[in-house]
Amino acid sequence: MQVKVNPRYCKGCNLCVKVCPNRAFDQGNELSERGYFPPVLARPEKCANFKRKTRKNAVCELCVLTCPDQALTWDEEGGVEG
Amino acid sequence: MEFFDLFREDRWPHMFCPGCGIGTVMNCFHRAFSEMNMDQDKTVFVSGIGCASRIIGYIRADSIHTTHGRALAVATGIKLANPDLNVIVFSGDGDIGAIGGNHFINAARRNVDISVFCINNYIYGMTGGQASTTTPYKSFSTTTPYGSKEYPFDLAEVAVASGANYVARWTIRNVKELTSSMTKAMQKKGFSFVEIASPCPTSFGRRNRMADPTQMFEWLKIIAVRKEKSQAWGLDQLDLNIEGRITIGEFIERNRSPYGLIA
Ligand SMILES: Cc1ncc(C[n+]2csc(CCOP(=O)(O)OP(=O)(O)O)c2C)c(N)n1
Ligand code: SF4
Repeated sequence: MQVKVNPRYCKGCNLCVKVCPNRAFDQGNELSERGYFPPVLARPEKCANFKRKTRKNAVCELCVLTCPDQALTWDEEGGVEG
Repeated sequence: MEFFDLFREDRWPHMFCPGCGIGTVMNCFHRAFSEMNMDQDKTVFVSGIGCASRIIGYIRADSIHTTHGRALAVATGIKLANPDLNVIVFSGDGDIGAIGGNHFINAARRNVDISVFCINNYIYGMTGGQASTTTPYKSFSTTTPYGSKEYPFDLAEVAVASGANYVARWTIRNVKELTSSMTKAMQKKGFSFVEIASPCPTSFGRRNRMADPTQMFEWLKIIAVRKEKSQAWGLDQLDLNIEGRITIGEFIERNRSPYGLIA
């Protein structure tokens, strides 16, 4: 599974870019509908949960817990089976 | 429980500024609350006035937004009137340390069975950045244009000295520890107090060369020192200045009998 950014809630603070120990995010440069620059998940394969399938056994989760705008959620369909 | 089972999705996105730590506290609180399987209908949320206090307006549960500083007085009343309710207080540093300082000391002294989560952003965020009782020495705000000449309060130590049953302090960078501390605080009988050092890029950051949310986020990483290390270094929290350090960790766990429930 992988992290999904919700551009409706994101306010472009970039805390996820800073907090991820594996540097999975990059600062975004595309303006969202709400006038912010949401980050992009540039390196999803670096995320510690890339090979995990369900939210229940997720580890780390620093970005999801830190995101002050609740814009990051788990997308259980994304990522690689394994 | 999903996040939006506890919070009101119809009010989203919330009013907090980009990079404000209050949203992170909501995430951690939701984790703690759902892991404990607490009953939303048996929980009352109380807050005073301020940005931090706005959290309760987003919660799907009974909540009361009291006048500035009086959250603990109202919470004490609710707990004594109906001891079956879980009473949770969200409040800011101005709310609890300045105008409500006396209520805070005395609620801790009486050891009322409530959990208090104080979001300390070192400034009066909502009114535009006046210095609060926790503003670090030498830092700038609208009321201290030449740098604050006052020494700040250490809210966690005040709670310990006043007799709280559980006291901890974390920054919003310690999400895991913060979540487990919140769980402990809600389980503990008696007054429990968790102070959360949180960034306010809008009111504090802009005047202290940290206008970008990520700069304040890095600042919190630099200033936070674990309790064990801080003892070894001989840090004194009362000298907190803008280049200073804060001590994080769990400060006390005791079992004094709570107010109103004395056998
Ligand atoms: C009796 C009273 N005095 C003053 C105010 C103005 N006031 C509103 S919010 C606030 C400061 C809140 O600061 P804090 O509790 O630190 O919350 P923050 O906004 O920083 O999260 C003040 C002084 C008020 N609303 N009521
Ligand atoms: S003024 Fe400060 S405390 Fe209030 S919402 Fe903005 S960043 Fe948060």
